[in-house]
Amino acid sequence: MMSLDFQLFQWINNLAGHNAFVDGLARLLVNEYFFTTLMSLTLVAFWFEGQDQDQRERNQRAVLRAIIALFVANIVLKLCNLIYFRPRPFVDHEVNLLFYRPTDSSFPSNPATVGFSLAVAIWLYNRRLGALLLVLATLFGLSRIYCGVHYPLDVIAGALLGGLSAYLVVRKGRFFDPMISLVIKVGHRLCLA
Amino acid sequence: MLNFISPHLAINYFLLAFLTIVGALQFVAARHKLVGLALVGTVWRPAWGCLLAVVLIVGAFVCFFADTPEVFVPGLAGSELALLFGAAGVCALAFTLIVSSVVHEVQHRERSDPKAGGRLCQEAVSLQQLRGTLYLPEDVASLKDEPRAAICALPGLSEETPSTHPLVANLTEAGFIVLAVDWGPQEGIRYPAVLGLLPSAVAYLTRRDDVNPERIGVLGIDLGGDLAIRSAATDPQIAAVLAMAPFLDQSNTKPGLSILKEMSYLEAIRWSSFRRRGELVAELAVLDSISRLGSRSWLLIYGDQDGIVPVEKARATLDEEVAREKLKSVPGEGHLSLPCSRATSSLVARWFKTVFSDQYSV
Repeated sequence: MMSLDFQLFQWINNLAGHNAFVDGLARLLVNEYFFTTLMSLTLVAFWFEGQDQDQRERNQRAVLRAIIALFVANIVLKLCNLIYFRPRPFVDHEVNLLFYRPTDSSFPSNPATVGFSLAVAIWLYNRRLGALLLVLATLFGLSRIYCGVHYPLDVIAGALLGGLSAYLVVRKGRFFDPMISLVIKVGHRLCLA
Repeated sequence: MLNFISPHLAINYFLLAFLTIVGALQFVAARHKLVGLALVGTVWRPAWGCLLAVVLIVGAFVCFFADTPEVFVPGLAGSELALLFGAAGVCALAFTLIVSSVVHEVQHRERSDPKAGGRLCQEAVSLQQLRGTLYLPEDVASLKDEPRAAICALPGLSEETPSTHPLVANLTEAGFIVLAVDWGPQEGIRYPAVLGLLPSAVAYLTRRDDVNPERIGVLGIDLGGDLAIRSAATDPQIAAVLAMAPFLDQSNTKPGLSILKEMSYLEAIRWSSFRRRGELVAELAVLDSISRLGSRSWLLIYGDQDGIVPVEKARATLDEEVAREKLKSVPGEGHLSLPCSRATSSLVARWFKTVFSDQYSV
């Protein structure tokens, strides 16, 4: 399994260093600021989106559940990091490193967890926007492998963790309903929901 | 513990988030015609809003990556990013709401016509509970010989609701006598006392020599529309009722975000602060009153862009057949712009003329 993971990592990471433009683009995408800000902006816009009040309330519930899913996924991620530490690819191998050297555990991938928890939560409410966010999250994950800071398995585990958190929060997290309804009610009173 | 690494990075990220969120809000404002969120004046030109959104978002990202070398070294962690993004979000929303309120106010002043009302022949009316202005047609001298149909006009109940002046002008030009009734101070408006408002206006009109007491109609706007329907249901002297954007149902008095299609945020907060509006609509029980109007003529008019009482919602509240016959929508008009539009004014004058000419000549 680990060998397959490393082979896949090498296949993607060896693409780096051949084209200055693609490398530059990857460096732009791989950092913590670009995709996270873009995805958060999508949530901001989605809060106000909708032709009528019912549709808007549904979207607002999606946004709040996505935020809760992100929070839940991050707690699980921190617990995983406490239990298991996997060194980054550049620690044990020679890689094409296009990014700085993070010191935290490689497994599971934090950016993939963040991206997929938001994307899957939105996808469960709105297929079109969710698909767009899934593409962004996938690009985010791939760029981390391309730049040599994550193994593919880290990204897959992060995606599963984020996706599962989102699924559970959206489909099974009925106990969040009162809190979500309260937030929307306050927003409605303030003419912001 | 939070660690923002470097003040330069933290400030730049805050600015990135701030500008991009303002951009996202402009995109939403342009897409859904939310005047209360639009920075580029009227959002009836959505292309401007979209352009501003693209400039803000792309520009902010370009500036951030060009001016922040710390992006490519160990930087902000998730908690710091979330905190900065949240703070920037609150600031961006506050900035957008305040600036758009100022822009809206300035544009509103530019649009208002201070000379409006100068040409009409009018006299003040003040009798016990009743306060208002009586507007007479230009051929006022001939009224004694030939009593006319009269309309009681009740405006909306808020400062944000525009005056009934364009409607009144059109109705007097069409030959009607119009009594524009004042609600009086908001704090004094209570149920059931409010039910006396229109009957006392109708009683005043019936006592006048120049008014034909069998041809009295009421025209209500916004909450005035609800009251007009309720009053007509119990006062047989009212021969016709036209309600413009009435609430019909209590749930329609809490429009939430949609209200920003109609007014600025500060106006929306002021509008929402009159909490008794919902109670009054519930107590007036307009839907029950409609069934008690019997064979009398009545009509509901909504703007198809109404952000407070969406026309689809109003239609769904009524029976399908009733809605088809008795509900008209005016294209391109919202809740507040409806009474000011020429299309509405001519529709109202035409309807009253038709209704009264079916029985008599105006």
